[in-house]
Amino acid sequence: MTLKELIVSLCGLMTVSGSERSATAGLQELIGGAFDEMRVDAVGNHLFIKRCGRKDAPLILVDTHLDEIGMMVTGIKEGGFLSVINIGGVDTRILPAGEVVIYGKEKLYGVVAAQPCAGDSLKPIHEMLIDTGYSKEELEELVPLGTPVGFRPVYDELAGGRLAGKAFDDKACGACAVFGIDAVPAHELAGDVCFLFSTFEETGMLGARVAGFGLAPDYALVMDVTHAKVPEAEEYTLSPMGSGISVCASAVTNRRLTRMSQEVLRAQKIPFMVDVCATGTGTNANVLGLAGEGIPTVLWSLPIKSMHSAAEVLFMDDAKALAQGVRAFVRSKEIAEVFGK
Amino acid sequence: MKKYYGLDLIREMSCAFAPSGCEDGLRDFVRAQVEDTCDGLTEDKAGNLLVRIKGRGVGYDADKPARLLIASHMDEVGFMIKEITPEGYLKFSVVGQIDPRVLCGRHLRIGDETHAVKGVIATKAIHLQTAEERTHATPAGKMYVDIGAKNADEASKLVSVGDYAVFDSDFVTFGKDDRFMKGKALNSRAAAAALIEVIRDLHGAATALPFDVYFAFTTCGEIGIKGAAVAANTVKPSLCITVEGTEANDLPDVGASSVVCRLGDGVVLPLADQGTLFDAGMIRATVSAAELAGAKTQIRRGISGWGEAAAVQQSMAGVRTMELALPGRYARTASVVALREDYVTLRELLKNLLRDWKF
Repeated sequence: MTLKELIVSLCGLMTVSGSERSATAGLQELIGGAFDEMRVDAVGNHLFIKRCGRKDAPLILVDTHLDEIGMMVTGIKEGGFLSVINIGGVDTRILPAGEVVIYGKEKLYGVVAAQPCAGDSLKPIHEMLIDTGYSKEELEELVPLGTPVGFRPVYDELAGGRLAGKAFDDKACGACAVFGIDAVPAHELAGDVCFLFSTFEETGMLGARVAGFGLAPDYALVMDVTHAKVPEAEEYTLSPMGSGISVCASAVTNRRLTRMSQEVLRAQKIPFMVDVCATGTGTNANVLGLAGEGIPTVLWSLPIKSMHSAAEVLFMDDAKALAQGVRAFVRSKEIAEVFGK
Repeated sequence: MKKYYGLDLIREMSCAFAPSGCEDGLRDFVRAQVEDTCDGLTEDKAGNLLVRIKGRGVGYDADKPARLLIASHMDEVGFMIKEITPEGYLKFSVVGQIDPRVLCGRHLRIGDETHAVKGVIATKAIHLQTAEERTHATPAGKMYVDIGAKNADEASKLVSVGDYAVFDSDFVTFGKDDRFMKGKALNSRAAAAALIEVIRDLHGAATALPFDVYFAFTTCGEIGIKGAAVAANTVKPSLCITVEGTEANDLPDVGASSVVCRLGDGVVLPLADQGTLFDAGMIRATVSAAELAGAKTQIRRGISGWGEAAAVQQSMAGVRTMELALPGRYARTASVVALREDYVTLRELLKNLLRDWKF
């Protein structure tokens, strides 16, 4: 499977926060083969471990979050419509006339109603309706309240190696992690590697905090998406797409590990730029550093556009750089010597 | 070209690339669907395709045949590329009336009917939006399309200013027993598909009609310049029926008294639109014929829109005109929703009307 195929397959799974367990079988099938062990913890974190074969080796954590933003059914209306509420920060601007999948007792297709209303205001999400083509009575059978609703997975290859679709945040980084780890023979790993597909990032970074405590790794690489530079957000300093990995400089990440990770990338000629998130990153790096007895953490990001929409855009060259970066990171003896036990 | 029927025909037509002024590809498709089952085909200078079914029945006046025009527009709403930015994005104008609230995040095909590249209408991520932006529609003029190009040079190799774009939306059947359909331009294209199926039916019919029928597949129905008026000038009909899509708003948050028409209640008969009042006699005759045939019809309880019918009605010295419409929710979006039964009702009602129409 190519990296692009793995990205599309992983991102196509429904993993709306709170429903991560519904993807367990799919994950096992797609990436289980790259690891020695897999387990799901008490809050739905999916942990995949690849052993280096040495006793007392350091434990390296590579974290990307499994969950994606989405919706949850809150009501069933006359005429076959559902009302929903957002799970995480859903961009309501993309919803009218958008297509969704309702993960009830059966998988149902739905269209978000786009009824014209006065002025130029947007309805808040709890006033939006999903058209299902079923009657109210049928829906009461098929769709229990609380049923997760995800964007319909539609992936388009754009020009110049760009890919458009849903949930690159953050399973695209997950695909890069798996690709990078899988490329290293076990005996060349700098330690045992735990790849964590963490839960509830979009709703408060609960999963990573718990997993960090439970695993107590020696050091951690967190990978998440970041905003690529777009013309209508000039007031923000954003990473231009095509810059490779965005290595985060922040007070909440470990300064030495961050610098050493840059050395590793430089040595391998893997493109990267430094992305400044001075006092907070909006990612699991915020909580992992302080999990358990504290974990030295570095954050690498993949720049994407239109985050939290059904048509996020990534650049495959950046994704490839990220996968190569992971490969170099988990092999790095230098980092393991400093941060390993 | 392969012949398509029923649902396959609707799928092909819904997916065709044919915004207003760019109907050539769809016209060739329609021509291929009907050329073996009609008595004459012409294209006029406005780009309309005119398909003739000749009368032969009892009472047919060969010297001065009565003529019925049945018109359906081929075009859909879409976009025209007006600028390639230095960063390689495309700015666009909207062709037809599209609510800007349905644009963010939509997939597009950009180019023409023979060659198109993929793109998405970009949306500034929710994290970067101001409070105002989160609750108000972005005007279409501020949006841009991302085709993956990294700069203007790369974009210019793929797209030219003046290129068209349409929603990239597949045809889906869904809901209980797959009774519902979703697609772009769905209800107006399904209306045109019904005409194709009626042409085939008439051609094979045992009893010939006592009048000529001209089916017009017209251009520019979505932008107020009606190809249908030109078709009427050419055909000089005694009567005209336009067959259209119309917007249904049968949603639970719309008060019952504000619902103009419903999916499942059959063919919509508008009494009026913003352009005109339609011929009351024709509407009465249609309602009676539908009752006899057991075909569901509904009177549209609203006068929105400005269809082709008004243009035909006011052509030449005036033409008696009415409209039949297929109801569809979320008109002029990437995801129009219509009901398969309503399509069948429309097609069969048209056949019935033609068989029994008394001039």
